[in-house]
Amino acid sequence: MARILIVDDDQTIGFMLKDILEFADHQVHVIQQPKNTKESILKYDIELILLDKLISGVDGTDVCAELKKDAEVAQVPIIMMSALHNVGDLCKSVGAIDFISKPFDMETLLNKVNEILEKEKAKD
Amino acid sequence: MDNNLRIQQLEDELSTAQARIEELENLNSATSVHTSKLSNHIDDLKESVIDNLHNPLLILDNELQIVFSNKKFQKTFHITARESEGKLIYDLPGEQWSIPQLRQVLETVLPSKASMSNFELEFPNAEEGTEHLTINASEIKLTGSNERYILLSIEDVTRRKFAQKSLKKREQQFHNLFYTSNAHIAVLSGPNHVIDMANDAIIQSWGKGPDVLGKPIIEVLPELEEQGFIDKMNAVYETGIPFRADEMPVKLMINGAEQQHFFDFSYQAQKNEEGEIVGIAAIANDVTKQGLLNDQIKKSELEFRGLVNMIPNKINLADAAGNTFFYNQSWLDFVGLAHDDFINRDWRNFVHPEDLYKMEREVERCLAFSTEFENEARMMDKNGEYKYHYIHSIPVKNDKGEITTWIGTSTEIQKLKEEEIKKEAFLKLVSHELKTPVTSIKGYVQLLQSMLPAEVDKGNSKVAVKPYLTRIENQIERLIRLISEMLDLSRIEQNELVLNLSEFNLNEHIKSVIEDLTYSVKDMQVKITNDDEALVIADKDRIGQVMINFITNALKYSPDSNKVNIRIFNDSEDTVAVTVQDFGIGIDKKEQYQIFKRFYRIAGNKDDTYDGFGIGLYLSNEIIEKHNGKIVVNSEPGAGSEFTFILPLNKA
Repeated sequence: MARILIVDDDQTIGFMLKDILEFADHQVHVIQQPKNTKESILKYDIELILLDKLISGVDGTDVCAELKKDAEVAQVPIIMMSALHNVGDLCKSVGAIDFISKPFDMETLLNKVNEILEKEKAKD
Repeated sequence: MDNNLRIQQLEDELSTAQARIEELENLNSATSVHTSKLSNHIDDLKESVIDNLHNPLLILDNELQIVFSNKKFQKTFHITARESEGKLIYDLPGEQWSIPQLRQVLETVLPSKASMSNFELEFPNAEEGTEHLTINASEIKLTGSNERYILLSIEDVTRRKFAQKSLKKREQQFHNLFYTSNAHIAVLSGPNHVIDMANDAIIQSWGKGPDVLGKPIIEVLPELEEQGFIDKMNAVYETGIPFRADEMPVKLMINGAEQQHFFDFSYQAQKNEEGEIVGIAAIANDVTKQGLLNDQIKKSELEFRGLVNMIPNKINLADAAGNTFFYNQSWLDFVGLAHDDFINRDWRNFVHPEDLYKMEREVERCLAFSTEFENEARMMDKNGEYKYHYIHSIPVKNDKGEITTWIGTSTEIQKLKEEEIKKEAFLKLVSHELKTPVTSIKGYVQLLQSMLPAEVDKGNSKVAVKPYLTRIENQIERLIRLISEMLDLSRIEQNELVLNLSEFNLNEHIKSVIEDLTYSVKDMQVKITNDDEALVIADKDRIGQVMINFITNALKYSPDSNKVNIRIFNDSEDTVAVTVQDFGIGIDKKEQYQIFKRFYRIAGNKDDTYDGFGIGLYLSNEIIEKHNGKIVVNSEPGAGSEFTFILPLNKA
């Protein structure tokens, strides 16, 4: 069980991710505006972020890079998502710990999420 | 030698001899002492004179009996003096002279005429064929005697006959040459140019008949006057300076209709023995076909020039070394320069600096290898703005295969380029927009599969739920594949398949690709054999795409099997091969080279089960070729297929 933040301007995707992750017993918060990201991380004490690359008018990689520069939230791992399948390296270059291309498999998603959370736990 | 002359000579000789005889006889009567002696001398002299004459000679008496034959006669006709003397000429041995015509002449004509010239007769000669002889006869009357003798001189004219014959033959040849020649020949005589001779060719080309002979040319072809040809003839007739013309257009009225002809021709003065001009020879060749052709060439040259200057494409012509010598109007309008000003400027100044390097290299390559030039570059217009152009140039070669000219066309594709960018953006948007709902559907279907029990109650029985969800999921996978292919295809079309290279372990990558795949393709049995470990520099995602394509194809075309064998091995020192083997329907040899074609789909019995746009292998091939690798197929119908991709190893 972990506290996860989803940043995606598409509600359907946001809710679907929420439903899946909640089914896997995680606690999920969804926001559509990337500008509220830091605030939400701090507010809900977020342990993992799923960040869409293309949010209306904003490039998710910029959001990611900014968060990674911010000492208050830099330690929270970010998985980036995109419908473009060959931007994984780009996302990782701005600090994302992993990348998932849409559409994805539920099992792939859950495996990645669990893997990362376990690694993070091992760090503590 | 003329026969009469010869006879004359003979007669002269004879009369000289007679005069001499008379002289001697006079002398004899004066000096009786030497009479008998002298008489002997005279006989000797007579005989020696006659014997030494070059022509055969006979003297006949009144009865036509031979009194005397000279040695030449005897030699020529192989008769001795004894055999001939006292015989009738017709009765000579061999019956050579038994010619009725000769008998008639000698017996009837001669007595009344006293002489006869040039009686011709043919004399068969066993060795040389027919000999031709002429016989001259004259009556000799001796002074103080009533006796009459006939002198027959015989001349062999075989050679002359032969010469005459060959002269006649030659004349016939010239006649044939003149009348059957394709060259048009007419001989005009006098100041009015009366047609003296005209061969068939010229009469035909005039469209007339043989009745033109004897008429002045102006009467036959009045249309020549206004075209100035009669003046030309007059000038030649007056000055003797020949007139020549090549491909001269001549209008002729033929059967009342005007016809355009072209002639190469000459008028040449004809002179008589005194060197005075008496006429003109006109010799012409009808080159109407060639003339019309040249007219046609000139016409099409003008048409092409018009075309080249009218079309919106920019056209240039360059010499073998690549130096442009012609730009069409469209080019001049684009750069806003006059033709020669543009020629004198370096073309490099008009190419966008970012495109110049590639363009120069391409030009060098094409000049060096004589190959077609194809390039895209931005060219500067008269306002200093750069516009995208598609530039294409092909070499024109002569019969020997040497390049004579480069023909280049440049087409402005600025709008196309802009459209392409819009299209690309649109496709990205479409793909994103389509993927979003699909992502959500897929997520929920998978969520349902996890949440729902395997079967639900329906009255007294149970109904399985999972198979339905699996079917939905398979269709979603199919939809996802179609969306990706559509996007990839558009990228390849725009040559934007840019590789995102990184170094990785191929064995590990393939393992993870297959692991990912097992989530969506549930019941496949994949066996991986790692013969060798391979490090490559490649595009991870693209190689993964090829693997997925191979494996999904393997399963798609194996209706009765879900087994796939994968083997990774070094097929040479520098390359690694990945083989995907299935146990499906296999591919016919004939089809094996076609499957890499875009939109090619194998037509099976269950056509509808083989979905997709038919671009999967086309894409895979493009991807592997971009990596400098290749794809190899090994398949037999009914026995399954082996698809292998080979990549260069990273050995650095």
